[in-house]
Amino acid sequence: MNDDTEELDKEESEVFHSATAKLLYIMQRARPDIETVVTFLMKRVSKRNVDDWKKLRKVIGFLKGKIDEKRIIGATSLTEILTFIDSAYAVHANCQSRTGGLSSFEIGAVHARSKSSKINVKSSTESELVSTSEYLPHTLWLRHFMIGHGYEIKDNVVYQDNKSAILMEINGRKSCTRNSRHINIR
Amino acid sequence: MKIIINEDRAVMIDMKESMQKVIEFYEEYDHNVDPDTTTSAAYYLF
Repeated sequence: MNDDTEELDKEESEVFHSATAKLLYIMQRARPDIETVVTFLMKRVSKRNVDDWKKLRKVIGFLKGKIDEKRIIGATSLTEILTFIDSAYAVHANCQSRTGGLSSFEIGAVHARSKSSKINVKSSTESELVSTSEYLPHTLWLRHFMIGHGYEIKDNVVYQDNKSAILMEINGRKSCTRNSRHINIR
Repeated sequence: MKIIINEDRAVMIDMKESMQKVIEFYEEYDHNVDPDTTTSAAYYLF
């Protein structure tokens, strides 16, 4: 992010705001693949600059090239929920991490979410841990929703790519080292 | 928005018309849109 670039004029600002809001509407329904960039641009609406305009141009170009792609939501089994969670450590200007997750019944994404982490952390492992904490309520809601509709959930699997975070989630403080002992596992 | 249910009961959500409108709206002000963009986010996004 480059805050040193020139601010947009009034007309461009209105176009930026309007186009971003339209993208948000599309993203929530049919294009979860652009969620990261659209949620970022929504945060820039009040202080948009030329750099943000280029980012908007990029996502518009991406949509133009992939306009025929459709969101598909399906299932091979309604008794198995797969959840994928990941995070990008300290990527925001205020050093917050980016967290994201996706729930699926093996075909497409039933639910996807990408947002900045609510708290600052000291390592990528902690960032993964916080992202799990922030995304898992969505998976739990989905599980209760399916149970409420009469489906017995046999498998509810969370996939992550950080071994230390997985161990901390399973074992709690037993798997914490002196570097991560301070974190309060929520 | 079109919602199509396939033979395998998967649901397909198509918002091509809405996307086309946004692209046309944006291109009224910016003619440098590159449809060969392979990723939605710039690597320096944040």
